[in-house]
Amino acid sequence: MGLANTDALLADAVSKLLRNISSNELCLAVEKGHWPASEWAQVVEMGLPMAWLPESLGGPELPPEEGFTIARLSGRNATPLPISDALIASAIATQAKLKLPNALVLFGNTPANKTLVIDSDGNVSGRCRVTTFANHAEYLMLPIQTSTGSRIALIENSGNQSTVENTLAGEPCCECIFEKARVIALSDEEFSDVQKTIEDIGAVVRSQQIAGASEAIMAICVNYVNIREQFGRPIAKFQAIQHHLAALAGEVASIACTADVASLSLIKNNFNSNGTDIAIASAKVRAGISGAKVIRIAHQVHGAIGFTDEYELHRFTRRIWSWREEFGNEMIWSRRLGQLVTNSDSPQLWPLVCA
Amino acid sequence: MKTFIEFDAVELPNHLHLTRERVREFLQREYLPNKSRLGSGFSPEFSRLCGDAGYIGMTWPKQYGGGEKSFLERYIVCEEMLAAGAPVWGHWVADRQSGPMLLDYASEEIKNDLIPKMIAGEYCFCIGLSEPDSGSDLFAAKAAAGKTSEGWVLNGTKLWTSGARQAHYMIALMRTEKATEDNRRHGLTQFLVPMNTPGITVRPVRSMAGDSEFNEVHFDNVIIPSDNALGEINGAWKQASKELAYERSGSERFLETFSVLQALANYVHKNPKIHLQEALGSLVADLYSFRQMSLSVAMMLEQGKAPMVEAALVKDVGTLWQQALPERVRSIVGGESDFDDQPELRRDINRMLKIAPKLTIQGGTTEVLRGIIARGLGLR
Repeated sequence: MGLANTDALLADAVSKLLRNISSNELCLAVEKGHWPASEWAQVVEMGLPMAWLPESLGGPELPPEEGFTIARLSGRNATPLPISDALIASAIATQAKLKLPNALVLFGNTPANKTLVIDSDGNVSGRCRVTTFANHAEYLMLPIQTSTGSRIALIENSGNQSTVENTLAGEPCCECIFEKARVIALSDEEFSDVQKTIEDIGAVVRSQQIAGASEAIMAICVNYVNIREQFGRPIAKFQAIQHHLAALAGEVASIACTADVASLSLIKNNFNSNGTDIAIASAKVRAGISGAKVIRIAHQVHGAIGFTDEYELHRFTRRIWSWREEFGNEMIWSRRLGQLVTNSDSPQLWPLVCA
Repeated sequence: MKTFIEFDAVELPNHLHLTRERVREFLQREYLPNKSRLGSGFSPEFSRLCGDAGYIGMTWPKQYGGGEKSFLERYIVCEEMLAAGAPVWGHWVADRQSGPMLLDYASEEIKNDLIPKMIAGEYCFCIGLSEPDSGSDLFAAKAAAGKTSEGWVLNGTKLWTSGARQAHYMIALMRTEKATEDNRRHGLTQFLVPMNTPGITVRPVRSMAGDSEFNEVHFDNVIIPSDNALGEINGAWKQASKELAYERSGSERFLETFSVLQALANYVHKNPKIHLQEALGSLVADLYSFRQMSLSVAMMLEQGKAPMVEAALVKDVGTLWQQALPERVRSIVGGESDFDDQPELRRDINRMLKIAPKLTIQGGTTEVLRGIIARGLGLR
């Protein structure tokens, strides 16, 4: 991928591991409620889920680029594990300076109209949407409203779960209801807008996952059209197919490039997203809009086989559909970007675009 | 899995922000106050001002008066000029591709003679590729050059040549030999043709946009010196890839209709309704993406690569987008109750609608580009 300073050896090792464990069979099993414990253990052993957490907080402290590479590769393999969400959790914990236990830690993501409150005894109550696979998490980080601002609380995952439903990707998703859940650790620092921090980092990670899935789809398509024969020759030889795939390549390249730019800009700003708004918004908008085009073209060139659950295309298709909705879809990020333009004194676009 | 198309994310070095500031000051000083006089197309006066400021031939060797600056720095200067709508077309082709072409393939004498004046903004160049019977199929070119004791004799017709009336020189692709059985690209040679040579007639072709940017250029026994053949005789096809990467990946591939997006932003600024903000934001995100891709190709050129496929991708997505832009802006504001009261916005949309059809044709059609990309993907 297009981020400098990434370690090719590490990327190779991650690639190999994720390719080995991310089978179509595993995806289908997860969809039926299976938790891939042994696969998860292998991923943990390599230090992937907590890549961004500094050593002082119990993490492996990999260079920041590597986290984005891991997200990209998990997308490229449609790995049915919460690697990227655990990564986001490690970024949030780093921001909040919370030491994490060596276990699966995921997080809640409260919508604007719902809040979690902490009482004078230090217990948390309220309702919260949690990330996929959070029903398997041992700990959760939750954004908490206090009287003076917002903080991050680490709790043991004992909340009551609403019915677990599968996302479009076929991964388990639920809401949690907490009644006086005991807080294990609370961030000292107050975030002016903790929701924004989570959503910004999450949006870039999701853009990388969509970039990876799109790259995988392109490779699947190129391979398929060279093998599949109709009218006496590989369908790759038909100009109509060539033009489809050329258009697809443009969409894939634009998703990947914009995701990399947003990643770089987050890294440069130490994961504080102020000043990186247009890069993040553009990455998630691009991933959403172009992701849909990638899917349409890929299924069109595949014909009926792409629509089956035994062929691998659907794993990527459905993940892109799921990921584009999470941490703000393209409509929401477009609106934010439009508001960034119109809420300033002058609506000059050009200085903003090349800021 | 290895991906075969890569656009590295570019982080601009800090000193380039200074360059950007200086270009903006330059435009503020030299262009904006004289906008109505200088226009937005060809302006010999503005080209000379750019020359004086060191904005032409920025990457060329100092030996000929060039700046030996990076491609990224040149990129910044170019995009600022285009975003401001400055009248750069008098030196654009010379700076973008004719200069680098001459530096690679012309004789020392020609270089010493021409390059300094190109850098000063005094010479305008045009590119003679298309012909009445040869458009996308460049290798079907028929206009011919024959070797004689006096030099080369040119005969034939070039068509759709932008800026031929203003140009001092043309870089022309001429047939010097028949194509061979096994290589239909064989037999074409590039020539440097002074446009004031006897035997050249230029006829303007009026466009539907109301201008006469295009021309028909007729060669009738035009004699040019032997030295004016550039590079390998019959082997022009080998020289094209770098030139095309320059030509296809620049900011003109997504900024030509930019003013209509700014006009939309001005309108939404005054009418900050949510649905308008969302539509505006989506277009701004598009622009952001395509600019980053284009910047990434500039970086590859800086590293000495010839990113043919990546450049074709930038031109494909960028030109389709800038072509659709006036339609999309129209569809965003056209249903607003006060649309009739926005004469300026309507004028902007109409002006850009009129140039939109050509944007996916000039410099390689969408279909040609997709063929190149498909080859890059291993499909042909």
